[in-house]
Amino acid sequence: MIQLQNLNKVYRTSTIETTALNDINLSIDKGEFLSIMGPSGCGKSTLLNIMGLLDEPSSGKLVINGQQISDYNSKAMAKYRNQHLGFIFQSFHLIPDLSVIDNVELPLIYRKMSASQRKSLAKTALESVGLSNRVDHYPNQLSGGQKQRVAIARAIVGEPSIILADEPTGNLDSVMGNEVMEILLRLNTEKQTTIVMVTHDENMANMTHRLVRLYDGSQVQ
Amino acid sequence: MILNYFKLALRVMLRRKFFTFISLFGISFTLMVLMLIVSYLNSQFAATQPLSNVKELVIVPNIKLRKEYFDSIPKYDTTIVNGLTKIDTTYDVKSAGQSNSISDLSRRVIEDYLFKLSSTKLVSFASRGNNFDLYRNNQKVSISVSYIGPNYFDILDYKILEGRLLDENDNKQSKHNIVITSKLAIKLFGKTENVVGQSIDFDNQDFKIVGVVETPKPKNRLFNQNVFASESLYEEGADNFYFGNCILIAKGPVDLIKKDVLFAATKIPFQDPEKYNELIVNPMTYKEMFASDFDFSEDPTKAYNILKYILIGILAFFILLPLLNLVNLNVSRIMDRSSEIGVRKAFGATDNHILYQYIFENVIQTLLGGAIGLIMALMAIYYINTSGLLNEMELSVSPTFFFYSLLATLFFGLLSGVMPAYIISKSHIVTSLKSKQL
Repeated sequence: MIQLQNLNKVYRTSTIETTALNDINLSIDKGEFLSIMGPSGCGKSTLLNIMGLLDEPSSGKLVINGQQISDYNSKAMAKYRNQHLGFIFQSFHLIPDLSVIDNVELPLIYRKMSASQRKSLAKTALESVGLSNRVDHYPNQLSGGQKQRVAIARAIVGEPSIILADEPTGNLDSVMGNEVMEILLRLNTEKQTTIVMVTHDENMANMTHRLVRLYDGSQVQ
Repeated sequence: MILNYFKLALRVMLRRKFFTFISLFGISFTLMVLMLIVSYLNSQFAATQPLSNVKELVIVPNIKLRKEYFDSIPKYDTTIVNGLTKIDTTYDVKSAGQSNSISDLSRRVIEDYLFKLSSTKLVSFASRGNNFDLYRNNQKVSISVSYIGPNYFDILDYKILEGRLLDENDNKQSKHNIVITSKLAIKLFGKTENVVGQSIDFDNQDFKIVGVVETPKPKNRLFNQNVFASESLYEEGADNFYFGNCILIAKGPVDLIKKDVLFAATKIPFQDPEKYNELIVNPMTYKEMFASDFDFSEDPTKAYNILKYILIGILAFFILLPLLNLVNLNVSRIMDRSSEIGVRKAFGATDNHILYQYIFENVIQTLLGGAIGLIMALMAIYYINTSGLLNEMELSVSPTFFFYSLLATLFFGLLSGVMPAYIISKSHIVTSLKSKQL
């Protein structure tokens, strides 16, 4: 489903060149739940950002669902992200000025869907993460675990085939973290959603199908 | 999507109250001043009564006779020729002075040469106001009487509030009938109704009021009178009408009339060319007449262009300062939300979605500022009109005023919002996500 071939990412300034990813070759199957681990600064998030079309590789190939993404322009990439990808961030990234349901609707807004249809899908997504009673709340009225569940609802509302989660439990205590992990596992099992998760937590990583370790931008496992 | 953006715009404004207050203060104050300018221009230039024919109106003020005297003025210098000093004399022919007259203009000449132009649909004239003081209830009331020719009210279509306008019979029969303006009616009688039939005395004669017209909003030399009388009542008789001190008005294609008037002036035979050999006429449009009061140039078209560029410059400068301030404020306000941009882009927003969203938000904010500015402007207009401040100038509120006010508001909103929105729409997703956390 996702194929990375000889992928490199180098950050250049006028004086310094930093290699963030070095010759990454990775193949992720449909329905797979993959975790990426490694020390801080090893390129985990950069790899996830490239898979999520949020960043571009310096060289190498990224193929998703048989389509080479480097051929896409920014508009096509935005459309692809909207229809096929869902994101979960460590710090939730909910929009504070929008209510819970409006935050969840966000990906659907860019699909030119009617308001009633958007509301209905957002409510269903919130129900699936157990937050149907919080639709009109604002992010600052929620706990960390609830915020992340809203973020998950936002990631799944458009039924993407791939979810990319960047340390989704990193800001949560163990109880909340386990709750979030359970939701992701359920999503993977029930809907066959492919999930790629960056984590620092060995226990969480062990719950996934496969673990990839990075060190200094290179794949070591 | 629009509703979503609208809700978000309101939430953002409410959440960042201080930002919103500063922005709205700047926007509403700037727009209030812009609206007052629109109102002033509207009251001066709108094609409404009595200026419904303004687009076809040519005004010829200050007609005069002139004779310019020239003289040879020698200029002495020394030069060296073959080693010897010689005197070198040159002569410059320069104006040595001129004599002007506004009293020697004969009515026949004016009628024959300026009233019978083929390009004009209608021609008329009005003397400049003759001032008299009346006393009513121990109060002095100043009046300015203008003697008008036939067709005057057909060219300047005053709005009748009561009675009628002066007609041919009034002129032919030299009836002592007059028409007064509404402001004078209020000063004299405290009302504008039931004024017709009343009399006033001035110039040792009794005059009967036959009509009351609405006081024109523009304040300039075309509208400096508050009493209209027929030309036949002119103190020295219609045949001796003092054309040098009156304003000629004509209706028709303005460019053609202007050319015709200038050409006709060159064809006038002078009875005594030794005394005067030039008729000075300066035909101008209404806007040019307005501009020529500022004395930028003797050429009215040039005066109008200079005034136009000065006004545009002042206006641009006046708009530019608050605009730059608002752009600066908007940039920092939007940068504060750059992480939101990252999220939106991650979930499928294109650069254009972001651009439109932030322009929309800014326009909503500017419209709110415009609404506050409009309320402030209406209050200021009411105060200016009722207090007699600014030389009894009356500002107008009309559909045109609202249209241009809305236009100014949208223009301001778009101009102050486009650049910040463009900058933020082009931001890189990862950089945006890493910036200030939501």
